[in-house]
Amino acid sequence: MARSEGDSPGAGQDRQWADSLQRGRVPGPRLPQQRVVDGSGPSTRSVHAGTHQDPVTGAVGTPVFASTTFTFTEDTYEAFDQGHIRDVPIYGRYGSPNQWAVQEKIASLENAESALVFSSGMAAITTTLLALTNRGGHIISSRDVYGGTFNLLREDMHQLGRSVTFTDPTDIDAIEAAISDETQVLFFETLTNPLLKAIPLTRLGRLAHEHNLLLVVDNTFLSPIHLRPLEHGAHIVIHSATKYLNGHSDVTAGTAAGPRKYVDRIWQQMLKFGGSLDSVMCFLLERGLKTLALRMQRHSENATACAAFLAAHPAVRSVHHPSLETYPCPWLRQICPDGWGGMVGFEVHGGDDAALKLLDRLNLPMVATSLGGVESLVSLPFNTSHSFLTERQRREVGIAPGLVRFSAGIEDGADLIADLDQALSGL
Amino acid sequence: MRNGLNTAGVSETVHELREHPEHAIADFRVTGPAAPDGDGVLHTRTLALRDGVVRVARDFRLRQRAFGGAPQDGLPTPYESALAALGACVLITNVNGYTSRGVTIGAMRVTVRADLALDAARRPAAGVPLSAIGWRCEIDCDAPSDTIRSINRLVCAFSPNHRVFLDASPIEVTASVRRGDGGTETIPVAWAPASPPASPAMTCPLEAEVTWDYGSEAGYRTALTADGERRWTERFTVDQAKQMLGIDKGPNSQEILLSAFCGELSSLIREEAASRNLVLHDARLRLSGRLDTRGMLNVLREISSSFHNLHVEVDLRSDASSADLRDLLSSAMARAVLPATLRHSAVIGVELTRAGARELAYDSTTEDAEAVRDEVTRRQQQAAADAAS
Repeated sequence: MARSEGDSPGAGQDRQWADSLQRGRVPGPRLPQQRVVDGSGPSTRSVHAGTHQDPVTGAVGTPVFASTTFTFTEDTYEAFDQGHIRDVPIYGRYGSPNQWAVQEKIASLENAESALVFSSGMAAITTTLLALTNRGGHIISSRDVYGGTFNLLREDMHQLGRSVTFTDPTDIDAIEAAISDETQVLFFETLTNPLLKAIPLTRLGRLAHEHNLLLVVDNTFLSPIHLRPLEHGAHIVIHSATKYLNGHSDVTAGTAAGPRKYVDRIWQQMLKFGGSLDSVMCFLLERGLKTLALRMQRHSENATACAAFLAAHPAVRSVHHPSLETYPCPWLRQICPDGWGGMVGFEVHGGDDAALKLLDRLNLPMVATSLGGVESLVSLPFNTSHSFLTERQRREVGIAPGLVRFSAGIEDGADLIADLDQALSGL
Repeated sequence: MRNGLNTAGVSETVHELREHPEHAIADFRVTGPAAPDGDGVLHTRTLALRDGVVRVARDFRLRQRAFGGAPQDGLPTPYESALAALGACVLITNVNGYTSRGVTIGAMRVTVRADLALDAARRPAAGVPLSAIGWRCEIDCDAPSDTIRSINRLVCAFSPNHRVFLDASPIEVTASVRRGDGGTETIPVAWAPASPPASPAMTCPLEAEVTWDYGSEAGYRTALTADGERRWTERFTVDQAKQMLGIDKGPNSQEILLSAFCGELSSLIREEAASRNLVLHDARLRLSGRLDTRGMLNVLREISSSFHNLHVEVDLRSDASSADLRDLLSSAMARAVLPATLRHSAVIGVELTRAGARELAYDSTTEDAEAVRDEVTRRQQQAAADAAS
């Protein structure tokens, strides 16, 4: 097994002082057998970036390296001695060819130096936030984040010595006012669940740089096909890869991507927390990613068409979607000109009872949590993702009675609209 | 990772700083009330530091005892803490040096000694720098003598706290005063050490012993000899932030040095106010200092390798006149031993031993340390020229 690219520091008797150490920071980890397609378009990157090209068989796809451990070589011992163990195949939790293949694809799609895969999106979030903060540190986030994330921030962070302030993610002044001496990280979702509020990403990036803070964003709803947050000032971008990145509702995974300096730190934290992703899941995720660009285009087209239909339907009180004129965060269209994923939020007349009835009447979308799969899904925030909030708290973040969260899949759009129409008409 | 230190991380940092110098600056800060508590304990705490382009939260509280008070729970005086800060920085710089040379350390201990001059009232003599400062490094390793001697010389050139004691290091003082009517005022404070007595009435030997644990983590204890009795403190932990290749186990040596300053000034400000019958409703100190990694790693020869940009900010709430407050602060600074120690260049005795045998002993001076940096730079330039050809 070859070593990843990147020199050893070369510590030894011939090194006068630290200045003569030879290793600089390199992208990756990346094996020489992996395809590099930097400079190509997102569809090409989706298909080819990071693929492990087996020199023996000529397999066009990455083989599954199920082995959890790898034979030691001189490179292994040197890496143990000098610290660059992320760059050498050693042990499954440290890194494996399958992890590196999918990580390289994600890094390429995000235009990042390095990426890391985790056993879930929550593993990615927890590990990243703890890696990038210290005891006594402060995080600024929002109540609009995914429920699991909110629970981590509210219930666990203070026990781990970090404090959290929750702000309106679209109010840059409120966010700036929340910055204290100990603030280290701004953590927001680029598009919130389920109202699709867009954070002012570029302004947040500037704010973070002005105050020496790290901007960490969860870009699950948009995927790197629609938005690459690192190009707009974010330092780290996280995904629940369970959703669009994998896209087939058959893998639980998370990712983090950004400059290698920070991703290495997150990786060191992951080694101890243990949320690594096994080879078969990496293989599935890599396979799912190959169609990401195509899928995102179809998700976005279907969601936009459904949003337009819903906005005109008399049984619908309001629709939350970036394509509509009523959308309150128009800046999203400037940084995401090509689409906004497959999510649509809408409120039906008649409140939660009517919404529950709607779910019973829908045939194509399945009533289930999660999103981003090829199949359309539908759920109600009041009894799922936001059931942990009181009614007053739900009102404060804009969760009105009758709100439905619709994840448009990649079915034929006409079929989805026809099904929505028959279900709404019967309310 | 040899010696628990990620050499690859050090190496990557060196190369990063060449392209992104903005990542090289680390500003450390501590704060504390300008008065001991009712038990004579001086409290300080570390504040978030700026490490390059990010902030690092630092959540450590340090406790010291005022000199002359009853020993409190094995706490050090600020003078002992200052020696611990010197020893801890020398130790971690050694660990970096040995690791870069590919040498595995079996054990390492740095012992620092200095004399504190006392006046006739057996109080620290006003403005008299610590004298007879010296440290001994005891190393257990298999490296050739030439290597460990070379590393020792390099440590004297690149250890930021060794350099801040060695070089003449200016300290800036500013004060801001909040008035009872809600107004605020900034008071410039000029200071110079008090004229030392012809000869101190007596001296008090101080000692700090820093023992390497692993990586950048070490433990220290200190001792002060009074009335012929040497009393050791309990053991405290010193470590680097995880962003600086440590594990956040304790304050680092720069923060301990700032805390030592803060503790000494706390006592003196309160004493000066009492002697002048000035009412301070509230008084807090904030001390800061800077490391520039480009100097410490010799990425740029012209950058200082010392802990520098030392700054004392005093926040007062008082209705005393500006002139009275300025005199109070100038007098406290003039009486302080630690600022006087750093303000003057010094000669530091250095000794290196292995297995009880002396490998090296010499007096470290600023001139010698600069000559070492010149030599390192010359060799680096030669190596670069050789590589290019």
